[in-house]
Amino acid sequence: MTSIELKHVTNYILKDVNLKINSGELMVILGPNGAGKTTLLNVIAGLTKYKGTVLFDEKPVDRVPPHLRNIGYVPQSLALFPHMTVYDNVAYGLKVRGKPKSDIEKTVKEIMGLLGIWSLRDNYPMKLSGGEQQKVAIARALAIKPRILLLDEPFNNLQMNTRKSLRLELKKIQRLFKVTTIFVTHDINEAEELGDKIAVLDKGRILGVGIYTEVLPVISSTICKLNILKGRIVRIINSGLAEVVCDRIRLIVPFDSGLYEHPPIVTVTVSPDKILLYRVEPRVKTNTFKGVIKRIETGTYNEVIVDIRGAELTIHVDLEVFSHLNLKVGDEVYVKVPIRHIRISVPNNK
Amino acid sequence: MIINLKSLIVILLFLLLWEIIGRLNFVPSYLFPPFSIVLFTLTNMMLSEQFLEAYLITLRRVIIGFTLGAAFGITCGIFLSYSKTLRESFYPLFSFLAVIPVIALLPLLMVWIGLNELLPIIMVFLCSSIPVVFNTLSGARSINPELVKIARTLGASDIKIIYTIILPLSLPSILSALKIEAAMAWKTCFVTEMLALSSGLGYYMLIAESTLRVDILLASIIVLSVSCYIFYLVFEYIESNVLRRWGYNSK
Repeated sequence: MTSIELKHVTNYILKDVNLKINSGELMVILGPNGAGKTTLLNVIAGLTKYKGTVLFDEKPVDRVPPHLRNIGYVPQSLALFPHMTVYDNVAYGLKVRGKPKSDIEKTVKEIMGLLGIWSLRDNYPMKLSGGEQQKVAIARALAIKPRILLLDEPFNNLQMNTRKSLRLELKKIQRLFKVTTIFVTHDINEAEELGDKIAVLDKGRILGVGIYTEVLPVISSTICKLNILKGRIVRIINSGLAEVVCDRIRLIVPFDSGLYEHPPIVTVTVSPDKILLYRVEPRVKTNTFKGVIKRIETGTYNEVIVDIRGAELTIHVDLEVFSHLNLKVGDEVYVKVPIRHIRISVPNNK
Repeated sequence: MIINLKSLIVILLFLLLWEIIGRLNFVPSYLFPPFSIVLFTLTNMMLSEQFLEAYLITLRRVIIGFTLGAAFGITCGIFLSYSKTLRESFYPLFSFLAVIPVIALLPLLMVWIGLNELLPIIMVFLCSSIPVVFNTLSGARSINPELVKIARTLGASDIKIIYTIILPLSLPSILSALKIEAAMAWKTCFVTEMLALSSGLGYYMLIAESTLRVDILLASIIVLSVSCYIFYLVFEYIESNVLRRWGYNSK
């Protein structure tokens, strides 16, 4: 286990980055495209130039070349060696270190077994599915028993359900290997689900570090606009639903009571493009509120800010609906928050 | 290359036409022998010691010159791809050398080297090495740089990266250069022998010409083209096998 610390790291994209990652932690770097996420990983791996200091276990490693840093790196393109079988890909790091053949076989078999890809050992990477390729890349990075594991949006090109199962598997393996991990993504859900902590990076600067609920305001102001409401659970309806009071709004939210034992204050987030807007009251009245349009901002989105008994909700209305409804400031509207698009987070629940 | 029914018919018609024109005696048959006679001469040639000796001499020169040229070309190409400084310093020189027709160097090399066994080997070496340098370079440069980065983080040193990643992945483009240059090597050797030497297949043809043996000339041309083609096929076979093994569609 290794702790990582970056002090005043600056280069062509990063601007005075300071970041500390405790040993064994899974840190998610969340940021939009072009924020400098990959560059940050390259700095840690020693693959790009920078000013400042990188410390592993409090020792500076700025002069240590990449091949001696002992880092497992899974790049966005995966970069599997196309001319080697899956086995040779995973064994590569051990082979170039000149480990004895029997040791190599033992380690490779163990890791590939853990990831459930041992049966693919004689295939070439081009013949594998996306999910299988991901696993090979992760196995290759883990085979050298790295001090640090760096993952650069590894699940980007996969389907939703594959992503989900790989995320769980990654988390399990990270715990098992107790390896300090940095996971780069632009997906908020991925960040919440995986990260012990999240660092929000934009335009080369770290804007906030902390657990999900702590960095939510930063995420909302930089990466994507979110409606964030603080609330309190007043009633658990059944195993899947609960009633939450946020200010003067009562919301029915999805709630898995198995995950949270004594739910304290919860944070409710809803993406503005998932909220529905009506002129007339809809027939199904769950999570439907009457409000007054306070502001309308046209831009990339048609952003409508609705005041509901003192609470403000931001809604992105698509162009067609927007022109059809002919919305004006001061209009009375009905707002519906679909249950399945509500996310609730409990602080310190990790 | 695939020989199918259509192409076979075209070849047979061509040979038939050759045979008929030869038999019609428009021109004396010693100037335009029909195919059957050339075929007969070819079989006799194959059994004659004189021809076999000449052929083996040429074959040896081609193989030595070509192997050395290819090895030099691949090594140079890899080094140029690996170091930006080397590439920027040597690339213009290589580009300049590449456009010189090797045959134009023959008189010069005849003066410098003399009329000995080294001359055809150097000629073949020159004509094979330069194009291989370029193809190796472009093959190595087209490798996803992430592969090299990853190999480095996995603990590979520069030399290990060269022979575990760069060299094997440049192979397809190296092979496609070798495929074309193998035929070129035969041609260059042949011309050198005709113009400067008194041994080998080129010289053998020169003698046939001086004795007006058009059938031997035609038979030698067949031997030459078949030899070129076999070299080509060998490299094509290796190329498509390598690619198929890695899961690319070779065609």
